[in-house]
Amino acid sequence: MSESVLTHYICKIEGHGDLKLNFKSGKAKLTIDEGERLFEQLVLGRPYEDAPFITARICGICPTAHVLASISALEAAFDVRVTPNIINLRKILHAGQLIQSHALHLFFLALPDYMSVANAIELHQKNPEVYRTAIALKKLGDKLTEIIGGRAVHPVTPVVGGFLSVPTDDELRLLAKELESHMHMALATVELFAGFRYPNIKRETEYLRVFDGRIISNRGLDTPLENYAYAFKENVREGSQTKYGTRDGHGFVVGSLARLSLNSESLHPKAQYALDKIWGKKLPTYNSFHNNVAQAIEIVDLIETAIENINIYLNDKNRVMRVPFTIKESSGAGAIEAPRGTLYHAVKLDEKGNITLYDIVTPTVQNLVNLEEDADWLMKEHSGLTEEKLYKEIEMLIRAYDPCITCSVH
Amino acid sequence: MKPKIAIFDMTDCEGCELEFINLREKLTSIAGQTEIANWRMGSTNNDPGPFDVTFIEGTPITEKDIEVVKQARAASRLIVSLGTCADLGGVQSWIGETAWKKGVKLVYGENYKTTSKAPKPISYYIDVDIHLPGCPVNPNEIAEVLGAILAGRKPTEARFPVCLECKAKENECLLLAGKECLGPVTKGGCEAVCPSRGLRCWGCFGALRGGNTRAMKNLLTEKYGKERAEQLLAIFYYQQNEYKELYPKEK
Repeated sequence: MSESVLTHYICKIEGHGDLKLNFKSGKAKLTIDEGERLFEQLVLGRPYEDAPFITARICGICPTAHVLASISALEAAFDVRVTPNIINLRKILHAGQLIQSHALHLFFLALPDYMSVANAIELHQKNPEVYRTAIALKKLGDKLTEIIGGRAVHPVTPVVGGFLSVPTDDELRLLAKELESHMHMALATVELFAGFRYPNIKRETEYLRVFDGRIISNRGLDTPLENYAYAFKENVREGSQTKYGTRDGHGFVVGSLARLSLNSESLHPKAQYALDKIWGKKLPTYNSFHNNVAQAIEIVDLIETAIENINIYLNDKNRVMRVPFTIKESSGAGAIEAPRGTLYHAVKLDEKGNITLYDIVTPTVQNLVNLEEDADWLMKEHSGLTEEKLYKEIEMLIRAYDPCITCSVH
Repeated sequence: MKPKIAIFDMTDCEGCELEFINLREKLTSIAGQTEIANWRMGSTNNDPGPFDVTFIEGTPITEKDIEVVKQARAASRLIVSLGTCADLGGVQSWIGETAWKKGVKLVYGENYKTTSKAPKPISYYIDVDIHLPGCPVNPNEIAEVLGAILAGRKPTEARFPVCLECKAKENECLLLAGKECLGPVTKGGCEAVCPSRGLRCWGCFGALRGGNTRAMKNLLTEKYGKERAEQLLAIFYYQQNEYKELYPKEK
C-alpha cells in the first residue's frame, strides 16, 4: 500500500507537513503540504468589523488569538482606549485560549511519544489518571473561552471596543472556583513533563516576544511592535506555501520557552514554584524540547492570571461592556502572545473603515528556520543513531515546537 | 465488529476535527465503540482503509488534497463532509477563481508558482453521503451522526432556519434591531450560539434549502447597499446554487 496518500505525513501536528532527512548532506527539511489560504486577500474591501471574524478562521486551535490580534490592530488604528474591566475579560479569554491550546498540544500531540502510545485516547485504559488530567485541563480552557468568548472554537463576543455580551458575576465566581480546583492538575502536569528524558541539545539562539508594546529579545532587540517588518524578514521559498522568518539570516524562537526564558513578566507564585522547585532548571537551557515543560508551567501561571483578573473584574465598580470610537482613515498594528508565540496583525483602512491592506505574521513562520537549524544540529551530533531513530527524534523535535502549519499558510 | 472510522483534513483551520477532541468524555465513549483507524492529527499507526465512515474536513486545494479526497472515497462506505469548508467551501472560497489567483500573487509575490486549485467543497470532486456544515461544526451534531451510524439509522438533519433555534432561546431579534443578520435564510443546527451572545448570524451553516434568499438579498440591499449585501451573502453561500441564482456573474 506504499502508493496510498492516506498515510503519508507527519502525524499529530496541526496541519500538513512532511519531513525529509538527507543523510548524505546532513540536512533536514520540513516541507509544507497545505494549500494557500490567502486571508490577507479575503478581507480586502470589507468593513473593519469583518476582520476579526474572518481571520479567526485561519486557525481552529488558536482562533481567539487571531481575534484578539485583529482587534488590537484595529483599536490601534482607531485610537480606541478600552476600560480596565474590558482588559480583565480579554486577559481571562487569552488565558483560556492558551490553556486550551497547550493542553491539546501537550496531551494529545506530544505526550503519546513519551508514553509509548499511538494516541492520547489509548491512555484512557493505560494511564487513566493522566487521561483524566488531559480531559480536565482541556475542558477548563474550553470553558474559559466559552464563558467569556461564547464558544470553544471561533469566539463570538469579542469586538473592537469591547464585548457584545459579558458573563454574569455568578458565572465568573464559579469559574474562579473551578480554576482553583484545577491547580493541582496543572502542577502535576509540570511534574509529568519535567520528568521525561529529552534528547540533550544545546544550541544558542535568539528568543523574541512582544511585551508592553515592544518586541524584545535576549540579544538586545528592543523596538516598537509596529516595526515588526524590520525586526525580521519573511522569506518566500520555491515550492512552499509558508514563509520563513529570519533575523540576519538566522532562525529565532517565539513561544512558551522564549517567553519563560526572557522572564520579562514575573511569574505568579505557583508558576515560579513550578519552575524553580518542580522542574529546577535554570533558563535559558537552549534545548527546544523544553518547550513542552515551558507550556506546562505556563498553564499554572495562566490559571493564576485568570483568577486574579476575575477578582479585579468583580470588584470593579465602573464596568462597561463596550467603549465608543470614531472610524477614520488610518492604519494600525497589533500583536498578541498566541500559544505558539507572537502573532502580528496589521491593517490599513479608508475613511469609511473599509480594509485596503492587511498583513498577518504567525508564530510558526517565525519558528520554522530555527526548527530546521535544530534538526540539522541533531543530525550532526546524533549521527550515531540509526536513521529510523533519528527520524523519530526529529519528529519529536518538530512536535515540541508545536508548529501550526495551518496558521503558517494563512 | 466495531465500525472503522477515519478523519482526514484538507486545507483548513482544523477547528472542526478539534470539535472531536472537544467532545471529551463523549469522545472516549465513541472511541470505545468504534475503531479510529486513521486520524493524522490525533494518532500514529494509521491504516489505509477500507473504512466504514470517513469524515473529511477542509477544502481540497493542493494536488495531494484532491488525491486524498478521491482515495478516501474509494476506501469508504460513507463519507461525511465535516464542517463548512468541506461541505460548502468555507470562507477561503468566497472569492471567485480569478480573484483567488490574484490573491496568490498579492500574498506570495509575482514570481511564486503554485499547483493548487481555487478552493471548492469536496462534493465538487466526490459524492458525499452525510452533510455536517458549520464554522465550526456543532459537536452535538457530530455526536448525533456517530450515534445514528452506530444505531444503524439515518442521522436527523436540521431542516429549519437559525431563527427557529434563536426564537426558542427567546433572544431579541438582531435583524429587527438593525444588524446584518442572515438567520432567516440560514440552515439551523448550530443552536443559535452566535445570536444568543449578541453576534449576528453570518450564515456559516449555508443557505437553507427552500429559504427565500432573494427576499433576503433585497432586504439587505435596501438597508446596507448593493456591495455590502453581496459581501454578506457571499462569505458562506458563494459556492451554493442559492447564491449563484442571485449573483450569476463570477467576480
